Amino acid sequence: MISGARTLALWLTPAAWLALPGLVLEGGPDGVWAGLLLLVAPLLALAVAGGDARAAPPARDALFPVVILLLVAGLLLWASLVLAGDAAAWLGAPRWQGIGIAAGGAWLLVMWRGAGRLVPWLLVAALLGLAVPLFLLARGAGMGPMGAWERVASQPAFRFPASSPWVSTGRELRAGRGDGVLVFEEEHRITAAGPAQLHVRARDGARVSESDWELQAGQSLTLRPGDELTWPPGARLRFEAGKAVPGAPTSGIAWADGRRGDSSRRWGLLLTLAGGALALIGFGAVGRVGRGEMAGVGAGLLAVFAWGLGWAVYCALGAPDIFLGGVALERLVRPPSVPWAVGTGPWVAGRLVPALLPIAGLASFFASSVALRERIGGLDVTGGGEIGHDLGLWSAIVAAAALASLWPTEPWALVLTALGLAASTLAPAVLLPAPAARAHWGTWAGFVGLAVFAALALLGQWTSGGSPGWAGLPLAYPAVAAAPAAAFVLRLARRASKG
Amino acid sequence: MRLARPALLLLLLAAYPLIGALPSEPGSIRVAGLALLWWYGAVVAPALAWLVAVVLHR
Repeated sequence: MISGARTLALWLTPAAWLALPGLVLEGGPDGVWAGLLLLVAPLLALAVAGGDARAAPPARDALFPVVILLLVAGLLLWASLVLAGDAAAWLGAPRWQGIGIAAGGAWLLVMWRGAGRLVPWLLVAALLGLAVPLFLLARGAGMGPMGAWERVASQPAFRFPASSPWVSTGRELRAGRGDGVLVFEEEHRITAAGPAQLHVRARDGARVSESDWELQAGQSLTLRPGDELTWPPGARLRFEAGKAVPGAPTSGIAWADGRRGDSSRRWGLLLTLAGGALALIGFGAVGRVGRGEMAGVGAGLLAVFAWGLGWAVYCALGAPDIFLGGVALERLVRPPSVPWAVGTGPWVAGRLVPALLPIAGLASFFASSVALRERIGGLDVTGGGEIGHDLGLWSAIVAAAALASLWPTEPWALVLTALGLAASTLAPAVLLPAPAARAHWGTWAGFVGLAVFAALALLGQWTSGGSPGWAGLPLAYPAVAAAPAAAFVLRLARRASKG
Repeated sequence: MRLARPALLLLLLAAYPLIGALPSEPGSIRVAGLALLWWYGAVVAPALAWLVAVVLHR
């Protein structure tokens, strides 16, 4: 069984843990659900694969699981590198610099055989880098997390603070991303901070009119409630202080209550994350997990869960402009208008504290990269873990992930794809291992899961996630159909073996 | 008995969407400043999950 620190590093890639406050800000209770799953899924996987339940024996002669886990590792690295690029763009540097620093560091560590010893220290550094800014933010807000939640959940609206960069100097909507559409809830005067070509879709009862505006620096445009503004990449705009942030929930109560309706997606996320954890942590695991190790992993997960909730709540309280146009994960690395480290010196507040979260992300990414390498090395068909140290293979994986991440995409969607793939192909074999005499059925089951997953994922992309409700669930979360299909093949193998 | 821990963890998880789907939305009721659904999802379920994972470990 892999050690507790490596389990944490394997599961908590930056794209996963930074998604937690992002999802809480975006969906309130839906985000808490995602966080709860991120917390409990690894414990479930350890309980099934490393505790008192039956574990799947490691298939030493099977190439299929190694290839799948390499794909999963590639997707997880890709997700975090996209985030590194987005964060760099948000902090004012070119995307490639963030990607280069993260990918270069990960590559060096992955090549170094002794890097496994660094994983616990990298995790400690990451946890400190998360905890200190949160503590300072809480101190600056002058209230505990419960009080902050109550304050946020009672806000009549989320309004631009005067300290917002979108109010004072003006800035882009999403550095490095495509067009964004803002829907205005109240009359709002926007001012161009530089040349900007804007497209406005106005509604007047049933009548819809579209107009294009070419603004120069200092020129303004007034938008009415219901107007939709398309914001092109690169355009810098200023908003009015005290006006509702377009894209934010209508009120704190609406945020705290969340969106009602499509509960099917919650079950899809449950199966994807639980199955993904089972495959990523449990597949091929041998031995038992000690109680201390379980307690340590649980404590680490609890700490990250608490941080994610706290970070979301304090960001919503101190930087409501984080909602502008929808929550982008990179903004959480340095929330736009948060009063950093009130009561500390200018160097601490201006340089040290804002750098801690990016450093935590890098440390966590490095730990995650090493843990992924060691995880796959543990399944090596040669038994020597050589695949974990294959210079060409890992260079190619890191390079491919770095190249792919130059094109912006959603990191959390990549994490879900990686875990869905693992859940569809490997998780069924952890729960229903193929009989020893028919071990190859495990591979066939994995192929069936892979084919169903790939078909549904492509169809889901084609139809933008399918229709709401249970009918569209397999297109939004393909693992809900792919994993049972693979499990069905394994059932047949077991039945044939008994017969 | 060997499946007790995974089953309990799954039950803890399943309760969250079930509370959210209850009629009349009891999850929105505020208790000591926090909505009931948030109490369960952010405080009770994580603490219980940790206890189940560690204390029932054999």
